[in-house]
Amino acid sequence: MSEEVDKVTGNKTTLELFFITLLGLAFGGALIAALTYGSISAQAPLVILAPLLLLIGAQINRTRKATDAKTVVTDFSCAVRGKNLKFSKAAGMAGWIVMLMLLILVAGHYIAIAAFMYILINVISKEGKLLSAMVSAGVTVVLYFLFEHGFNIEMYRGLIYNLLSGYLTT
Amino acid sequence: MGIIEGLSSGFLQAVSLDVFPFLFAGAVFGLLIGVIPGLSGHFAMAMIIPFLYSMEPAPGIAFLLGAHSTVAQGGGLTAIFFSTPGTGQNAATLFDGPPMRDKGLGAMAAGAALTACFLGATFGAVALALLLPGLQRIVLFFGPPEIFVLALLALTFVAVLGKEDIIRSLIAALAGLLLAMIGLDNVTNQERFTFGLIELRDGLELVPVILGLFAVAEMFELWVKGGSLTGTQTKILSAKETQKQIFQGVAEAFKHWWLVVRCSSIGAAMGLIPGLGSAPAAFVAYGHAKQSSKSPEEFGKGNIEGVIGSEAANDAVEGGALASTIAFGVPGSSSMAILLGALFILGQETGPIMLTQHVDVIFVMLFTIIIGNLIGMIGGMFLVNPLSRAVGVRASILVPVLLVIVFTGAFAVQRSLFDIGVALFFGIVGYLMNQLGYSRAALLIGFVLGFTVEKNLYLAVQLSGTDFIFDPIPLTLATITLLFLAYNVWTIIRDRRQAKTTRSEQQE
Amino acid sequence: MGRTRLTGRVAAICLMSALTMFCLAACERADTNKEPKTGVAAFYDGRHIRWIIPYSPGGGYDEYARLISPYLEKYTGARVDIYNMPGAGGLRGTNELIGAPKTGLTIGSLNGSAMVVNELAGMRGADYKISEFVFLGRIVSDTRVLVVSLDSGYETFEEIWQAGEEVKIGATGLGGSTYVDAVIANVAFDLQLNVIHGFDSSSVLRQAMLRGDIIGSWGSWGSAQDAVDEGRHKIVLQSGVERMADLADVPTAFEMVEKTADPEYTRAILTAWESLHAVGRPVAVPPGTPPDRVQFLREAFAKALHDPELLAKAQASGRPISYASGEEMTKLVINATQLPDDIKQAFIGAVKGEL
Repeated sequence: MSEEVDKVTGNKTTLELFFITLLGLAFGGALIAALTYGSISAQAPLVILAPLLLLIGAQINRTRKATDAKTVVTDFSCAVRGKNLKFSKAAGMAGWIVMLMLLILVAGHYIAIAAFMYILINVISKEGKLLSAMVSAGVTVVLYFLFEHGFNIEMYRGLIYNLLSGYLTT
Repeated sequence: MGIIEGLSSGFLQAVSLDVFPFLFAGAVFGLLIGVIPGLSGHFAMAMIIPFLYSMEPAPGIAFLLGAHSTVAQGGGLTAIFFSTPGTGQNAATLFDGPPMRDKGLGAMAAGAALTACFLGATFGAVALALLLPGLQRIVLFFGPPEIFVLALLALTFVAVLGKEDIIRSLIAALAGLLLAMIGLDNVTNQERFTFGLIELRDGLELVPVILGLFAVAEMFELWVKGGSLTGTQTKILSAKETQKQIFQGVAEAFKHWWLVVRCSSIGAAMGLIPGLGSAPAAFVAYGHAKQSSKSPEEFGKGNIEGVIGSEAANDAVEGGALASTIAFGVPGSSSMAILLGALFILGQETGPIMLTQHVDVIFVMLFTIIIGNLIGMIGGMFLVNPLSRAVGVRASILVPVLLVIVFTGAFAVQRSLFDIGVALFFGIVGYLMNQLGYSRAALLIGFVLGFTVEKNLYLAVQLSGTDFIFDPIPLTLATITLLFLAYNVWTIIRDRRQAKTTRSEQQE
Repeated sequence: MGRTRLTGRVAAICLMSALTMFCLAACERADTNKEPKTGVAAFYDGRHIRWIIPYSPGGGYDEYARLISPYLEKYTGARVDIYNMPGAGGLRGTNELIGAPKTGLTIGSLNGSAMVVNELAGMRGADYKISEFVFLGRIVSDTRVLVVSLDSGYETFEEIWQAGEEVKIGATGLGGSTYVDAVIANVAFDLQLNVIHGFDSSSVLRQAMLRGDIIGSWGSWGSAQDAVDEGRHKIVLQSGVERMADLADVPTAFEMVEKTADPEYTRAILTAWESLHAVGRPVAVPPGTPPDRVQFLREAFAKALHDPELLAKAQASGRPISYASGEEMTKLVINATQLPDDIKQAFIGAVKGEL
């Protein structure tokens, strides 16, 4: 059985352990929430959660057996300290996207995406300034005309703009 | 008006000078909309509605349906080249499309996909025409009990898709089912799993979830891996080679014509039934293609049959949905609801009157679909070359650009910032699932069908009591489901046993 | 691909697309309006009015807006941009409207009847009360009809009345308009019909009617119209005091009052129900909008909805128009939200599913 775990995840067992445990906790929370709903609303979620939690338990067990505490701790500290390249890159990208979202919220969609592209292409990936600027500006302009004028869909203008135009809320 | 009369009149109208330009414009428009991730057929049609107020019925219908019919073709192209499904229907193409691209066969996949779409749509349209007289009775067979069991049957395809690791696939599918429960239960007005957020009251919107799970996740993958989407292929194909591949792809689609017919039937049948949606049809067809293939292990690694199967189904679905929409004025999907509204604007009545007095309008629709798809196919081929070159662009540039496009599309669905967050969240989840071997398709199927399953079960019990399962159609379908499940379980056990014996043989 | 080559290509693509887009945009913006305007009209001349629709494109609200907007443009001199904001049953769009800038450049369609009902029942999530809005006018009022399928075997309302509990009618969500109609009608006439709710949408209801799972359902006249024309369904009862011109053969709810056990109570409930329908589909601006602009918009709206061309188009596409002015709307809303206590309790119970 443990061979099958290895076949798919290889050295990602630690990752899976964290992932599946988190899932278990999340769905455990769902179970508690579902129990507070009336019977009609709760029956479907409960019917789904029962086998789901059992299976998650089985998978946690499987993953646990495929590794040992020492490896888990080493892998974890490795990742956290930035030694795991793949992890750092992925986590980094996730962080940048969160920043993109915040920027959209504050400064509006077009400014945010232009900044996002420029930072990622020039600063992070170290491409040339001219290329980065052109791609960022170009894509933003195309999207602007396509969505605003072509489809008539207005993108989010950002909190700053809204406040200045007199919106009460976002 | 007789059928033959209607047929010829419909055809002549479709190619007439009043109508054809609109058909063409609509088809090209739809193709472009399909290419942009996040925008779907529903969106394309909504865009066209304002123009309809001043149009005659035939050109209006041609414009509308022309656009609608080519969206899936555009979506198929981006699915293959950028691992980004342009629409929900193209999600199943992600299994074998991108791997083909990685092998340098992207153009062939595109050719096959476009052709399969065209053939599937034609089949769907023809089937619709043939079924028209008996349509009333067929669609009426499907009420809550029948839909419930059918949805269950579609769910069991998870077993086929995730055969390699059944525990992980089941976890994914069940999780998907649970995700569908998020939102307001309209039977009791109980908010479920919404954390009190108003944005979650209607549940998770499908498009941001698909974009996240498949598009954003792929972008993560590419970013981490570096390089470009062409993978190990360092040579970019010349225009001539690309063209050759496209035609090879077209030939392959014709060669597998029996597969196309089967998958289109699955698509059309599932389209007929209201409430199932178009994404499940593509997955079910893919599952079927995998099962019936001579080399199922190749699926997921770039087998052209996978691409053909899913693309054939996803256009045929619309043919089926159109059938039930026309027959009753009951829309099978949101795009059909828009079509109905549009028909109303154009002064066309649906239902028995249309079937008896305006048969030519129906044939205009049919020919629009067929011709529209043909235009889409040819137009799509012109897009293949630029797209395959764009694929060669480095990850450092392509990823930010595609991410931005995806997030813009995600926002555009409902004008909601929350949806961008949803796309990001599922992007992370999708990336992890992919790395760890959990089937994203299973999650998606669970998510798409979860609502249908619960809602119809509730209604079935309300209307006929719990013994609805013993009515003829539900019983037959339930038996098929059980047999199907049993067969799959048996093959899983058999394969495991074989693997064990080969392992122990190797050890000796 | 080498760095400089890629840069060059990207530059070319960018320039070409930007140029194309500029041209397209320029064509769109060609303004033909040359007359000088004064006062408020000058303010609106050439500006953009945003019309918020709390539902997705393709639905009834959206269609009305797209039908009316060209005429609104004609009478205000401004461009009207339709802004769909679906979600939470109309709540999201309405929240957006109440928080919008009070410059008079944002207007919104409201699902008046639903808002009143939700307010009565105290549903969460709304940032507003319906009486807070400043109304420009009403597009159409809500006429509700009881639709039954022809195969049900019931020809008139009286037959259904006598059948009682064995009759199944369908409704969509709990607290939704079809549900509230069904339950209120049950209460008013002591019908005791079995109301099966939980259907996804009115189209699913229609299919269930065709299959015979349910015999009928309540709904708005607008959406029932086409099905009736096709001869699949039949309307047996309409809300309202007087029969509508298109429904001359169908009795109204008020005509049935004398046949009930407690006519006075029934009349009171039906009157309250009517006031709900009278609110219908209004268009409003957020409170605090300058009065002169409100006046200007109200006049433009009135002119648009009386424009013979619009009325003809509306008639042709099956979208009836029953205009009421902004001032009338304000009264109608007050009427609908200030109900006598026992009636209010009945409505709240209906919305919450306690009846």
